[in-house]
Order: sequence, then C-alpha cells, then structure tokens
Amino acid sequence: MFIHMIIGTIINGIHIWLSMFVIITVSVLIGLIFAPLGCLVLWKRYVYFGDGLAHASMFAGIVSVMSGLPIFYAGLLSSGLFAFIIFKLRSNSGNSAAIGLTTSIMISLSLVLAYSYPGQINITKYLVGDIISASAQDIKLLFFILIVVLIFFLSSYKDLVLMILSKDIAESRGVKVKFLELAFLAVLSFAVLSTIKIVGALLVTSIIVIPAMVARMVAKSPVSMIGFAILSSLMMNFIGGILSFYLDIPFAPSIILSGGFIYFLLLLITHFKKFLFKTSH
Amino acid sequence: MSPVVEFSSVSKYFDSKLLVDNVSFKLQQREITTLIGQNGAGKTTIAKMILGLEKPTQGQIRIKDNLKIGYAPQKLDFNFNMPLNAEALMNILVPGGIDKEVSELINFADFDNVRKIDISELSGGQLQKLVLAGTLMDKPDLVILDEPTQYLDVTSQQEFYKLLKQIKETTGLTVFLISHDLFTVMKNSDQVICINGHVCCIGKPNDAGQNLDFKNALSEIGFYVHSHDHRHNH
Repeated sequence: MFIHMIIGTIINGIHIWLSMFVIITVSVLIGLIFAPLGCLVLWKRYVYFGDGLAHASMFAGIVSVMSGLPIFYAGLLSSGLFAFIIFKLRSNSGNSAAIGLTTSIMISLSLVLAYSYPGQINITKYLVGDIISASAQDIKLLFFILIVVLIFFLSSYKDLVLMILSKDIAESRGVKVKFLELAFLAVLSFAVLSTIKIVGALLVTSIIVIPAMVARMVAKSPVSMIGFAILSSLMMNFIGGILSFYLDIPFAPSIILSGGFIYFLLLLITHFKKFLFKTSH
Repeated sequence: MSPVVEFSSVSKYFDSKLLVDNVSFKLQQREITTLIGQNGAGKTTIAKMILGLEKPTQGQIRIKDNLKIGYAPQKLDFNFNMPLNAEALMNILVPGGIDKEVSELINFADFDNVRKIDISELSGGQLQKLVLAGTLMDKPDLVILDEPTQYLDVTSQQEFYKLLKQIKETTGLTVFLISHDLFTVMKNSDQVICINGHVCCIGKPNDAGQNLDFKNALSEIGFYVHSHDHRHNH
C-alpha cells in the first residue's frame, strides 16, 4: 500500500514535470517564433490581416474534424480560400472591408458547422486552444517553424527594412517586394495555422502583436525591437504558462493577461518618466 | 556620345487607358533633364519604366549596360511603427559607406544634428533632405528625383540644386527630375521635356522664352495661359 502510494506520487510528479516541460518548451518556442513576426506585422500594419487569418483558421479546424484531413492541409485550404476571396473583393471595397467581410463569413460558417454537428466539434477548443494538448510532433513542428522564421529573417532582414521604409526605393534597388510580401504572409500563415490548436483562433493575433507593442515603447532600432519583443514574449509566455498550469486556466487568455499587464506597466512607467522630465524642466 | 537612356516611341496602357503615348527622348550623361506636366500626365510612369518597374506596352527603352540607378520617390511612405534614427536610415540608403566626394551632402542634410533622432520626429523637409542626400551618396550613375524639393524651403532648394550641379560635374552623374516648379526647372535644367501623355515639346530651357512651340506646350500643360490653335484628342 505504502509502496503504491510512493510510486503513485513519483508518477504524478513525473507527469507534472513533463507537463511543465511541455508548457515551458512550447511557450519559449512560440515566443521565439511570434516575436519577430509580430514586429513585422506591426511595422507593415498587418494586424487586421493577421486577425482575419487567425479566425479563418478556426474554419480550418472544423473542416479538419469533419473531413479527417490533417489540420495543416485544412489550414492551407482555409487560408488559400481566405486570401482568394480578399484578393477578389478588395478592388471593389478596399482591404479592410474585404477582410472584415471574409472573416465574418468564415466564422459564421464555422459556427453553423459546429451547431450542425454538436457531438463532433468542440468549438471552444479552436477558440482558446490548449497547451497541454501539444504533442512531441507539435514540438517538432514548432522547431521547424522557428528554423523557417530564422532563415526568413536572416536572409532578407535588410530587404525587409528597406521595403518597410519605402516600397518604391526598395523596388528601385532590386528588392523583389511582391515576392518578399508573399513570403512573409506565407511564413505568418504557416506559423499561425501550426499553432492554432495550442493558442486558439480567438487570441493568436494578440499573442503575435503584444510583444512587438511592448518592444516598440523601448526600442531604438529595428534589431533592438526584435530583441525586446523576444524578451517580452518569453516573459509573458513563461508567466502565462505557469499561471495557466497552477491556476488551471486556459493558456492563451493567461498569456494575453500577462502580456497586457507588462504592456500597461511599461506604459505607466513611460508616462511617469515623461511627467518627471516635464516637471524637472 | 551614346545616351544613358533612350526612349523610342514608347507607349504604356493601364487596362485600356493610354497613359504614355508614343514618347521618345534621350538622357545624356552629365545632364539634368526635367520632365514637367500636369498630374496624371504620365511622369511617374515614365520614371518607373526607366527603373524597370513598369514595362512599356509598345516601343523600346534602351538603357546603358551596368547603369546604377538611384531613385528618390515623391511620396515618402515611411512607416513610423518602426523605430529608426537618421543614422540607421543613412546606413540603409548608403550601404557602401559615405564617400568624401559627396560628403558635402552631409552638411546639406544637417546630418550631425539629426543623426540620433528617430525619423518619425523629423519634419518633412528634414526627411526629404536625408533621402536626397542618401540617394546621391549611394553614387548612382543616373538618379531619378520625383518632386525632390516639394518639402524644402527656398534656401534649401537653391542649396540642393547647387550641390546637384557640383556632383554631376565631378562624378558624371546624369539627373532625371520630375518637377512642377517651372522657375527652378528653367534655371537648373539642361533639357526640359513637357509631357501630357505624349511629348508636347523637348528643348533647352532657354528656348522657352523665344520658341513659340515651347510656349504653346507649356500652356498646354498649364504653366502659361494663352490661346493656341492646335487640338488634342484626349
């Protein structure tokens, strides 16, 4: 009996440590992947696009469950459909309206499908995600995405900065602007789609953008902004991950709240410093 | 001497709309050529065709081999979500480093005083000076400047054109300007091209005072107001 209790405690401890290991590994990987992408999203003002893409990926999750298609392929299908509809609509109504309409249609379709198949589809799972559901396969995939993001940034950093400064100047200096934009959107879509079951469709954009917003307040150059974004992303993911585990709350909202806390704290400090500077002069 | 750039009967359609109609001209080395015309006359399209960013629908564009082309656009669509100071901007615009031959541009851009300031805090004029200086410091063989002085005060405009002439003499730079400022055009150009879809007139700026065709062409694109008897179909 006593031995059983000890073995049970040891197994339970190993289970807790394994879960913690998964949470920390996934948190670090997501931070490293999304922080630089988030900076680019903020620089290029692609927040709205990222949001739309994330919601479209919820549709991918539901198509995957219904058809048995792997989530990644369902995601490619869904984001392809998303991009195609926007491409067709934007000349008529502008980018923002096209993204808004397409996003609403895809969310509505997802909700209708979820309602029609109540036993098969757990819509909450796709909305808020579940970090504990991350498998060894998912961790491998995250490593792969991280390598793709690193290669993308290291190979095209200067071109990216020039393109963001001015498309005209970049094009005149031989930068393939359209190709670079397409490559960025492909990498962003790939990263969002591959992490949707972990972080959820509802909050993925905030997870991408908050670290970049925090970094923008303190950074003096594009490189330092990426560095600060990685740091704040690791902090918010780590704190959020630990809180999620110990308080048994969903992962994504937990890291968003941690990130939001860091952002507003920094905002307060910045305003306080400005106030002190004004009063001393 | 063979021209740096030669347009031969070049036309450009966008969808079914004719924007550039049968345009021919030459850009000679060490010359400042200015393109003048109303909004929508096809000026920026011609500049983009020289840069290779737009292809002509008809006609031929010959560009000298290995020509390094610099471009300072009219619209500075700088995205201020990115933290970047003036020094970092210059490092991007002049990746090869600043040559002594053109270091006077540093003073023109007031670089020493603004180098640590984020570009989002600079005025339109300060930013335009930095972009112009950066574009010229990169030592192109041909530079295309689209409305280069629209944000500059009169003193800075004069200083810029003085420097531009000096640089073209010392480096052999060819300049292709797009401008609305007729006074500056006449004072600083070696060749003026008036355009309104098609080429209305090409010539030396001094011709404008005496040549009736030139006067009519300028009138057509809105610079001089007087009556003339030739008609246009567009």
